[in-house]
Amino acid sequence: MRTHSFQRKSVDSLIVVPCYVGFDKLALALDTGASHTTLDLTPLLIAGYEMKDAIRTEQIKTASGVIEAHVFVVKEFSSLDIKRQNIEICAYDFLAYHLITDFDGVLGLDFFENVKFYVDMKQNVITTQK
Amino acid sequence: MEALESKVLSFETIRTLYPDQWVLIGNPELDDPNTLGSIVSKLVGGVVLMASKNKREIGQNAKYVRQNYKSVTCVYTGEIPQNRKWLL
Repeated sequence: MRTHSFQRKSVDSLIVVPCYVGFDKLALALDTGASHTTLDLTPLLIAGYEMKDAIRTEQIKTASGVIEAHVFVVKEFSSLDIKRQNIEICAYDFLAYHLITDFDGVLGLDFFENVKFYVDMKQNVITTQK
Repeated sequence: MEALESKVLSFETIRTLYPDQWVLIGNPELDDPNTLGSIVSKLVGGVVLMASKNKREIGQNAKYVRQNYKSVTCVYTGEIPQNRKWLL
């Protein structure tokens, strides 16, 4: 069992979690309301993925509407001491939707498949157990 | 877009030198590894590999400047709008 403390500056703040694509550092907002982990395209391009590497496109429903996203098979993706290999991750261009944020996407439920985890909003701690 | 020489800079210096830009940073050093948070909130410093007002340029050109860096990150040095409520 691993515990990870987090800080939220205000009630408007999300829980932002460091993640790794290979060794590259990014940060995603924890989103238990999202079925799938979704990234801005730029971090994937920086990590060496190209648009031609997308295996398909999919429509994803967001709070801002339906967005066409590209699906990539990411060789190695990790967060919260959980490592996923060859995980399918959706990506789209955040800038096209005027999103300037301090996170690079959302960490969705697919990442937590077969992991026991809970969020303690009183102690500001995420606990994970594989 | 600027391609830059390797020199470790503090994030404070990076913000001063490259205001309101997307900056690709090689070998980023983060503080407080035991607390979760955004990269911007934890970034101590690193090597500026590229800076641009256009984030897409960073994505398209990163492969040309990151060869000697195992780990990179990309941050925005401007103000992120605050007091936004999120529905993801």
